[in-house]
Amino acid sequence: MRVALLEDGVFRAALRYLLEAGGVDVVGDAGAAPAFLALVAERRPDVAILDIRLEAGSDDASGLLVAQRLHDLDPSIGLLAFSHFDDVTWAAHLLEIRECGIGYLLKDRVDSPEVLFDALERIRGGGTAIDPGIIERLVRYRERQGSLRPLTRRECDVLYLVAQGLSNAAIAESLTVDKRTVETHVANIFMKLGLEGDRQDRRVTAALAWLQAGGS
Amino acid sequence: MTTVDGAENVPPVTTPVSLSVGSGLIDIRGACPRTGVVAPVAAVLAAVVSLSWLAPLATYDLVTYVAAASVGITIATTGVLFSYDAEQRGTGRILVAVAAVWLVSWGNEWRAGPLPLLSELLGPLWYVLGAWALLRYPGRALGRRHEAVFLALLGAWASGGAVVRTLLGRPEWSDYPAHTMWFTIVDAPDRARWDDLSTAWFLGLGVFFATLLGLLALKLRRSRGLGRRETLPPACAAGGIAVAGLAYVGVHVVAVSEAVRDASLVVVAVAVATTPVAFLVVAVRRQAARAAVAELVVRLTTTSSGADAVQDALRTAVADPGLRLSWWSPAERRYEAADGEEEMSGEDDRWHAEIRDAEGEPLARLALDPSLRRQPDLVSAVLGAAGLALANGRLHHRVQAQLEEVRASRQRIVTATQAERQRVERAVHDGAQGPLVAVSAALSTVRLRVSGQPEVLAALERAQDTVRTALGDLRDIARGMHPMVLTEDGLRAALARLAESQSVPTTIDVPATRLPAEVEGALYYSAAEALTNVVKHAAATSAHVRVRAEDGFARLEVDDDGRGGARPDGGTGLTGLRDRARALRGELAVGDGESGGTRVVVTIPCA
Repeated sequence: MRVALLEDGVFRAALRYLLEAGGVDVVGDAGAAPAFLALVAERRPDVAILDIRLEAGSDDASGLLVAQRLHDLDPSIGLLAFSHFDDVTWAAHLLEIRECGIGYLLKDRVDSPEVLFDALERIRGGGTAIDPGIIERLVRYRERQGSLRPLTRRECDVLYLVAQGLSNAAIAESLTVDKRTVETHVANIFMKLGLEGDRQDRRVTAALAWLQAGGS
Repeated sequence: MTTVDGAENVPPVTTPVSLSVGSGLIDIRGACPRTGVVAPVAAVLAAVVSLSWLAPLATYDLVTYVAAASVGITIATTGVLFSYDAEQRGTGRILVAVAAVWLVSWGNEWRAGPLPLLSELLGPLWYVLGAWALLRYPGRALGRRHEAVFLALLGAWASGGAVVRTLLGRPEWSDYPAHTMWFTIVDAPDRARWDDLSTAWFLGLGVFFATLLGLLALKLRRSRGLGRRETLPPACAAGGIAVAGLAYVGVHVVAVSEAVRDASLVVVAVAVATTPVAFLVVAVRRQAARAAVAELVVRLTTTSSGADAVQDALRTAVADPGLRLSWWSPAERRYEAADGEEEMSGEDDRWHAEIRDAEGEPLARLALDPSLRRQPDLVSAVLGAAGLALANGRLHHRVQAQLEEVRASRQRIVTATQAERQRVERAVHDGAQGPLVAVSAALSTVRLRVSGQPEVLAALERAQDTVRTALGDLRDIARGMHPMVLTEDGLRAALARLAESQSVPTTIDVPATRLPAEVEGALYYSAAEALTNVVKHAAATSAHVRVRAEDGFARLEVDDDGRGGARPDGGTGLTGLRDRARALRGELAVGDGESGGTRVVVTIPCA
């Protein structure tokens, strides 16, 4: 897998070494948006990894804006946003660009290389990857509120994985159940929570929107 | 109480206002006579003297006796009372003299020794003195030169005529026994000539009385405001006396019966005896004027402290429509007229009274009708009341200005604090978090490179745990500061994130509309602090955060279903929130919720 990096400071080098240690081919890195856009345009990596907020004092060159430019440049290039912010709002903003081939991870996730590489693989495969830490917090929050009471234990597990952006097949594999069973679970969840259908290309957004704080 | 600055240094007293009035010393004690027992003693003394002196009259004409005695008693007593008022001391002495001469004029009743002669010679002087007293009242002296000329002529005519009548006549012509002590300078007085002379004399007196009426009318026309109020009653009394005098002259010129002549004397006596009633009316009116000060105080404290309003109130209080109020302008160190014009240096006939505050700082100056000099007590009271109102108004303005300054600086502090919080938040993310995640990435890299060394892997895992904890702590600090999401996405996103991490299930109801940054900041911290209190103190099972922005106010409500009883002064951090809200002209209220528990409400105005 070929990736390009947009990060600043010491983290860029550390991340590069980590990716390379995991067998990822880092085709180039940059510390500023213009150089990065040029780099991606030239090398066409599988996934572009970028910081959701660039260095201080460059608010106009926000990561979201860069992501949008990259999407406009070539929608086939996967996008992975790294962030210090565990607000689901930022992930939701990112998913507004598109829901496939995109991901939002906390920088903390470098402590679990397997999660990072798994997310990269999913993004390259046209999937979605939302930081499991954020989803876990949201699910717990809804659980405390009692909003998840209509769901079965297994449906809660499925919702957790759906919101992370896993496909039905990946969920089936993760839970070691049949893919058809997962489809049934997903349909039930969306029905019980009163969500708009289960359109595959917008279901992560729908799940996130529901999970995020709001009316009881 | 109010004191008055004068030539002497009044010892410092706890007074908010001091007055320095024109050039003269106003002594309030002198202005408010404390006659005590003197008045009754004087009255009794006057009664004893009058009643015994006039005793011969009582034996044959009781009515005249009573009327004549009344004049002696009332005029003498009034004179004594007047002499206790610094302003009226001179008039008082003249009145005592009037009473004495009046009694002398009745001395002829004794028909003995030189008394009839003295009565004829000095008697006429009582009305000269009386005219003097009435013309000068209520002033310290005669107001006009022609009045003095008139009095001089009247005195000359009255006493000159009396002397001539004595020198050229016989006692029996004046109804005295022939052996009465008399000074006749001619050997054979001519009765016919003496009668003509007497008639001429009486006619002349009639002319003088008529002139006195005219002078009194002129004096009334000259007087204004309070001066007229004071002048009118005595002038009326004097007019009555003059008319009675004219009648008296009339009966002496025209041949009438003895009874009518006697009756005319009684009329004159009654007219003179009623004069003190006129002074009593004046005294009552003065009291009424003082009562106007109470009304002034009420007006000054209830109306706006505008210059025009104060000036109008003062004009009413002292009945001086020409009164001018000038404010002291500390910046320019001069007085400015209430109507905005520059104050003239005071080169007019007005009486200028200055009002100063307790520190001696000038407050204002009044240009008063000079006739008010005779009412020092009233003026002192009015100036005192005005001074209090002005000092109060100035203090109010100063406090208001200082309050506004404090509020503005408080708001600046809040704004600065917010900016500082945002700066620290950035520093946490950009400065501290970066290296930590880099360390974590490096540890992961090592973990990937190392295999088959469980102790090393375990050590790396522990190191990464530490980094994870540090990152979590830093994120919490940043969120407590001023979360990026609040800046970027506003209150709803920030409060949603806040609710997600509460251990007490928390729901939010927040509109997506953005509010001014400092309002969002204040409401966010308030909600965060309130939710912290819910978790720590309320023992609640749920909490609800509600934000509304309408009618120019942003309103935050944080409700819980806990045990309630929270107080903003309970040291739960709510005091700081209240300060912050107030710095933004808002308010924080803590009370019991509708369904038990606690409700914290923060309202902040936002345009």
